[in-house]
Amino acid sequence: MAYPVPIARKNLFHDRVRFIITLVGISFSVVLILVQVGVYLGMMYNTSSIIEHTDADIWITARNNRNFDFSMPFPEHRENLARAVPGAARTKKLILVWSLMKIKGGGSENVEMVGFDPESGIGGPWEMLQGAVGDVKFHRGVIVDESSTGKLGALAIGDYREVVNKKVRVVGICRGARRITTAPVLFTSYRTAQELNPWIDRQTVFVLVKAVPGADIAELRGRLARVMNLEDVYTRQQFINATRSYWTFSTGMGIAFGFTILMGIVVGAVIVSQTIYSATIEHLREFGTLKALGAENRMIYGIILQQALISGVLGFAIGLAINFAVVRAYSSTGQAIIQPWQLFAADFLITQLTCVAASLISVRKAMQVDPMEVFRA
Amino acid sequence: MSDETLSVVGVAKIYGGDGLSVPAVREATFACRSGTVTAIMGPSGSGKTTILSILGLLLKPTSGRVVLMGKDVTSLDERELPPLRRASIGFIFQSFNLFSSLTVLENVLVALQLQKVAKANAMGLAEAALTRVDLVKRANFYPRDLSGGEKQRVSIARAIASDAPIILADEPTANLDSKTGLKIIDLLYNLAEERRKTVVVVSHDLRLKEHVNRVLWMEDGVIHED
Repeated sequence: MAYPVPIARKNLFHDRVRFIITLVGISFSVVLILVQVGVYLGMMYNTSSIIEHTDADIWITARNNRNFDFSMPFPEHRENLARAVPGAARTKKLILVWSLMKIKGGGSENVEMVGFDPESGIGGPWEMLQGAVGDVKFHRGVIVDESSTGKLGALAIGDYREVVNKKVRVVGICRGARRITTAPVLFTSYRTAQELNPWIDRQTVFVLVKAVPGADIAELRGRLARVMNLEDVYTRQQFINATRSYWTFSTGMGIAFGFTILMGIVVGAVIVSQTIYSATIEHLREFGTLKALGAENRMIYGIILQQALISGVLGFAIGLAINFAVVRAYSSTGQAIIQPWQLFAADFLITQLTCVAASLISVRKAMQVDPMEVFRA
Repeated sequence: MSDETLSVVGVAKIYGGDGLSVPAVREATFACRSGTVTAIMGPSGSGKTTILSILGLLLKPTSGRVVLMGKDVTSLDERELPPLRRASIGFIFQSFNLFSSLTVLENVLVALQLQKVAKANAMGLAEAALTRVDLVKRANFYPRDLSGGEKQRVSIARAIASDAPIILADEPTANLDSKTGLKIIDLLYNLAEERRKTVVVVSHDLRLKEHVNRVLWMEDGVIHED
């Protein structure tokens, strides 16, 4: 026999149907928030994964460029100006160009072609499943991401395809280079990218600068910006932020995700507050009896709060379990979903705060109960 | 110490205001002694529940004094009253007011919990109270599984478990058949006699007159000896 008597827990478990409805509401909210934020973070990772995996401290782009995927080219000789800036250890050119690849059986597919320096591998694929990064130097070699097979069909090393009416040869399969645009990524050499897309002849899309060890990156960016006055100069993090910001705010994606996440919180709060409120109303006479027997208001408050928190913790645990099942199913489709531990901590906190806030309405009602009510038949 | 554990002196209670006032209790003066059962009887709307609420420190009188164990408690504020109620008064309600999600034993333990009685003592006191009302065998039952008489006995066990010197009972027989009702009154009478409790019963059941020590008659807010 538990003593002190756990009134809150007993009240909750006594009415199982109501308790289950509460848990369903909370866990639904938890799953909605975790999955939506996870999918959003996965998409954000996709927007910036190439930037994050490229060994460069500074990204130089054409003027008024706002993101990685839709960058304009600029003359490649401008790289020489950057190379001469004190603090720049080395520079590399990188091309990102939209192109068309013919697929087996007819038709074509938009692809994002990344042309990088095959000697250094900077800007190239970072996780090879088959082949080697340097193989793109030969036979117009291209490396495709494993996720491309859905759009481009099955591809194997040695296969030939046409890009803008020119034959390319698959020399490698990589992993992790997925774009938010859903277009397949084709890695190739810088020169092959220019050859296949002649309208960017002698032009580059990015100049990547690596700082000398110990250099102040912000200062180096400032020096480069003064010299590269026809281009935009970003630190790596600034370019990641600019790209993510573009996809979040300029496409309406952020609003859509934000709205769904808000709905998750609101739905959870409404269900919890409604069920806790109706439970409080049902037990109002009992709270009045407790007050008549000499209970202070804080004990009543404690009971209602405990009910909210028990519901919150159990609802979160169930939601977490469902979330992991959803993540497993979602990941099996090849889509990225990222859920760092901070997300779980934040959602746990949001859930508990929502439950506590929802219980406040009930607390107010319970505080107002007249102990004389206990004498009414 | 005097035997007078609970008394009211010139107590009046007027509901309402702004020109519309309803006097529920008018100039009531009486004292209740330990070891006795006092019945306050009268028709519905006569002010019985109001005077019981005043005696139970749940309602402040408009005028007059309430004296509990020799101390004037009329002017105590809301924070000082709960500890006093816990220590001095046990309540028995017409509708039993048991906690539906708690077992019989837990319902009794709640009263001890409010008094912050240690677990080692609480279990013994609760069982003793249930023994007194002959409900030990129903200790793990929920209120929904009990008859009306049994529920009222749980309510009595809860009121006596903490050994409060005063027991206030509101229409304790109203929801019971006559035989069970009289058993409950006899139980309260025995408690008063054996354990020197001050028992005040509010009722409109005239059959109780023969089973209590003293009857106060109440009509239109005026109280007088029967």
